[in-house]
Amino acid sequence: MEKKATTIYPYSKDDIQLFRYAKLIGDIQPVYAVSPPGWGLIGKDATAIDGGKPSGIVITENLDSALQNSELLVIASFEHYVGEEGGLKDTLETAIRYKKPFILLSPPQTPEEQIALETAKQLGLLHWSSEQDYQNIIALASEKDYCDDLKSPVTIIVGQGPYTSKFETQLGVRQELIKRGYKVSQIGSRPYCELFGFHSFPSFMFSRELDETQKIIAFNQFIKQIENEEEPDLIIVCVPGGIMPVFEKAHNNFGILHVEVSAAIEPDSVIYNLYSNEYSTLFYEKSAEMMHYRLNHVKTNCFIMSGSWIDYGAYQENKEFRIIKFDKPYNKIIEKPEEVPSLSIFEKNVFEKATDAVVAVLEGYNLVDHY
Amino acid sequence: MNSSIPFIHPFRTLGGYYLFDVNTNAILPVTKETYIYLEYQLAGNGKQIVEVPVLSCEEVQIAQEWIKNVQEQGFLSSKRIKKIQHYIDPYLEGILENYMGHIILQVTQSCNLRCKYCTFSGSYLNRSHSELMMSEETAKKSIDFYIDHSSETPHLTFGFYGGEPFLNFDLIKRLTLYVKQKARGKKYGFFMTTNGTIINEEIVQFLVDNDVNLFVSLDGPKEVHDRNRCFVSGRGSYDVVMKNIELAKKLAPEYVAKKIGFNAVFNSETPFCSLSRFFTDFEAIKDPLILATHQNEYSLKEVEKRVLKPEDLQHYDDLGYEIYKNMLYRNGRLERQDISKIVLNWEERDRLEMEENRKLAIEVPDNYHPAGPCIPGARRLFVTVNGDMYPCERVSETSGACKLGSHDTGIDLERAKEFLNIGCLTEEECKNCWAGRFCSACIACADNGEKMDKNLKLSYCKMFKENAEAKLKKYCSFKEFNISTERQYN
Repeated sequence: MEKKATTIYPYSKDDIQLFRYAKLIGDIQPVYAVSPPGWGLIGKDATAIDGGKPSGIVITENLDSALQNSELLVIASFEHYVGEEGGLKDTLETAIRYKKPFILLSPPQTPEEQIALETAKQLGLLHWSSEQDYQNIIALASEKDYCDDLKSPVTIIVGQGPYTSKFETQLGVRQELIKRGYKVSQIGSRPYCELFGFHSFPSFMFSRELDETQKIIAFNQFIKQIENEEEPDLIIVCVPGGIMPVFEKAHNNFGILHVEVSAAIEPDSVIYNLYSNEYSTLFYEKSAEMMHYRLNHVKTNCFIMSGSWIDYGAYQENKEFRIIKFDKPYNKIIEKPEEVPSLSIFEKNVFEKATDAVVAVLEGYNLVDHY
Repeated sequence: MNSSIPFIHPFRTLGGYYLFDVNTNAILPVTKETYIYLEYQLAGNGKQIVEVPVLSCEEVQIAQEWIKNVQEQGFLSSKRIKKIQHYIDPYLEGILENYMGHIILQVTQSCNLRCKYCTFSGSYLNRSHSELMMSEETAKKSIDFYIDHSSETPHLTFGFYGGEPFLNFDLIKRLTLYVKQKARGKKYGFFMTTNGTIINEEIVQFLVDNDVNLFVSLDGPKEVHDRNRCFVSGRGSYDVVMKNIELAKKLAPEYVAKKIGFNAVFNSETPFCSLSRFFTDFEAIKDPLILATHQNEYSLKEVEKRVLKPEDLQHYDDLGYEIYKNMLYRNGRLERQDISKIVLNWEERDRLEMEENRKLAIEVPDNYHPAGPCIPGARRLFVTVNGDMYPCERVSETSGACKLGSHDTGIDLERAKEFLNIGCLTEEECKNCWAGRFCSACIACADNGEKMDKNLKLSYCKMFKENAEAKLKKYCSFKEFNISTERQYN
């Protein structure tokens, strides 16, 4: 597929994977990263801001100039953007002004933004958007009152909380499995995973209109349909958010989503991403035990320590839940669990090792042919 | 220190005997006999105790049984801190790279007042007024540095400080425009501390337009305020400040009601009742935010340190009376409007420390640092008129010992680590101190103007320990008398 020179705006650390895994993304070739000046990234290398290898692409603040030299615009999330000037509405209008096709990673939030998007759609500029329709699945699920069995082995990726490098893990393990010749069906934790060639986590799992049982059955049907269509060797599901409360107010919805997902698909193994810390062997053992009981008797494949750390002091001082994201491995893995690999996101070949662990579990799957 | 001795601090109140268990951060009520036994054990430096002169053999046995029992439950551990190291230490570099909290720009060192206790008035070591103004280039470079190092900070906060910052109002106006341009895409806000004497119509409009959080230094009623806060001529500044507040109120009543707070500095010369009453009945602003603090004694010249005089007793009598009224309020005998806001604020601070923030622990970590130091540079980076960087505006910016870096070279990481781990200066004392969790010693306590001074830092320890014990006693006394904190703080 012919790659298109692409600008990403508003660029943040969350979008690094668009650069790092550009190979997986259809026709996108990121060449410009444009960020609002207040985000403190101007002048820094687009892929070095999380400690990764520099790309040589320096983050700038001039969207107009970047667009003049691009064929495509990726409009990233405005969740952390404050202010009207330079916001989503302005960005859509800029895309219209330059007649640039764009990919929209998160939906409009205001009527004004929606109007601007409609105008752009009428002009044929919307190249792709993350909006998905799950009505068929919900309808299918409403006719059932049980879950179907899955034939394929299922690995899930979960994190202690947000910012535990889950997305990077999904992409890294996926790339490695494909390289080894496996056929993988995958459901990722972000709403734009289709860009990378797999499925996004379905929005109905956050719906207030479905009860918990309906969600479990719908998720089961969602995965079953994918399994039937794609006939994978393996299914990987990454669950957004965190598996358990970290503090009183950072409760991660008590990990309910994780319980629902495991009830729906009965995973075989799990990759557990952790906040950076110096964990004891006992911690790893207890964590694997928790996984087993909380996630439907799942076996822990491996632990991956992320580059994020919870500032417990900030919480104690002013009840602020602050996650510090590092670009270097500040915590070393001192004690290791005996049976399960414990890896760091910063170590070389981390995803190869994680994939080894996934494959090791799969090798024991369905050893005896049976019906 | 004998390693078998429980790491505890025994204390008593009128109604009971207690142990503060350093490892678990718990307060354990004990019998009088157990208290005596443990005090005896601590005094004997952990020697095996068979008999205690004032206790019977049976009482000793009961005490030993109780200790054994609670130790089995995880309390009264003898574990000590192995190394003084702040928990942030391994992460400091990353925090200073992307998580800076505030920046405070000293836009001028010039001031039109000569407050007697001001750090620039000549009463403090190495600090005095000058006419220096910050250049626009230095200010912009510092703002750029801050934005570059706060990519993960959700809210940027810019402070303008002096001298009297409005003496460089033109620069402040240009800098707010610069910030608006440079901070686009993120939440940001401004705050200023002023003596309130220069406020005019244009300044009020500027404050409103930029939604500036303004702190006005106001020490209380005219006779109190004018005692210290004087113009160069010696004339008190109270009337001018109040006239300006009235002007601001007339021009922008909503802004004044929401965005203006007051800094009140007092010492034992100040009649506490009149100060407290002034802010309780303050007519200019209803229910203002008041930050009342005792005069800073760190780095104060020896000759300027206050020696108690007979007339100072009035201050303490007043203070005692206000605290007594507060107790009556807690018991439902008085209403909230009758209580000193200053005392209420102090009580709330103590409650947070003792109730909300005092979490139980399993044990003290091997590497631990007493509470006290902030994260230098990341909390309130203070940039002087010359572009030198300091951990906050409260340390002496003319002391080389407190300098953290400059807008040209950035923050010196090694220096920041030294400030963060200031307890290393007194490592042995800190490792065995029971009050580490309540400590508030930072570099300001150790700076002698030239270097960090161990003996100077140690000279504050007695005060910190007494404060900690007073908090523990107060907390336990309230529990004994079943005095509700609900009424106090809701």
